[in-house]
Amino acid sequence: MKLSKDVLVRGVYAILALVSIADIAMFAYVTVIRHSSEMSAWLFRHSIDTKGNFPPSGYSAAGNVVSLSSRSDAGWVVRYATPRCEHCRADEARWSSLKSQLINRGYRIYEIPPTATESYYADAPELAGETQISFVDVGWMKRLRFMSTPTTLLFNAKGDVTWTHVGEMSQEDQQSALQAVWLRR
Amino acid sequence: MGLKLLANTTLQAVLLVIILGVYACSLGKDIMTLKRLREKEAIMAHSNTDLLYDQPSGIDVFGKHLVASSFGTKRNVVFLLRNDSLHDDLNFWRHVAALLDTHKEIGLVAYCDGERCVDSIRKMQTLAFPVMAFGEATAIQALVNADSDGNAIVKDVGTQKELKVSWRAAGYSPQMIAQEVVR
Repeated sequence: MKLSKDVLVRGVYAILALVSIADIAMFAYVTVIRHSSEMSAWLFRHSIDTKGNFPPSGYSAAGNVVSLSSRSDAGWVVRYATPRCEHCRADEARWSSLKSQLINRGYRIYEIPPTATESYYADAPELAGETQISFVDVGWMKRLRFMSTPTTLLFNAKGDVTWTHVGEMSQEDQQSALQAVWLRR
Repeated sequence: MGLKLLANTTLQAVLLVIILGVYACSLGKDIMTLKRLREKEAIMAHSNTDLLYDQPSGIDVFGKHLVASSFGTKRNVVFLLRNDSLHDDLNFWRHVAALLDTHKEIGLVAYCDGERCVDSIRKMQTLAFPVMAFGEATAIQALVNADSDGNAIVKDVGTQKELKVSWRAAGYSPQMIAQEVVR
């Protein structure tokens, strides 16, 4: 009787140990995968490219060099979009609101159209830390895997990607972008 | 007394097993959801490889703005120069350019894969083809995708038909590429 009770108790503890180990392993797995999904790692050709990036450089659709200083103590944003895309137009109000909040926090905004003919402006007006690059540095562009507009990427001052979003933004997306600005400086 | 304590501790352990078991089920559901998300992301990443090269348009290594209409060719062969193999890449395409010299309707257009490549090209004597340092986002994406498979892109200006020709793989010579492009 005593022996079977001992076996039962040991059995319970063995199960407890197994379930604990399984929980820890699953929790670690979910945390890692969730983090890489939040960052949309697939937008980068290599996972190493999510860190230590530099802002894009290039030229306007008219062929003039973009002279916006890449130096920013806050960070920078890349917005892959075009006025010809329906989703970009639908996202305009939300993006404008997020953009002005980011500019107020010292972020620089770089808008990149898929092709030069799909640019917002023929030239690259520099409006309060915002510009458009129609011809992008090949070395910069080869790291990314842009495919649909609008795509928005936030980088901190160190050049690490802190937030990404593909498609139209919701109120929650806007909030999570601003949270990323605070949490992942 | 001791037996009662043992029973209590065992009961607590059983309760803990149940709680952790329920948590494991919830994590299991999260894993399934993330797995589906991963599959969707893989499809998204793969669809990037469907992008087509539009036309050669950009800024060359000397800062000159080149537009598609300025090429005046009927067919363009577009390829990426990698800094890591720049010497071999240039030798290959110089040879192709020489073989295609009589075919004025065919143009060669190179893109440099980064600043170091651009600096090296600037220091060289004039090449038989333009080398872009800055280009359109979609064009660069299509070209990088093609190059990662060891290919160059052959784009017909009139029909917009696009063909990929393998050149980086062992066994492909400039003669073979020139023949392929002319065909």
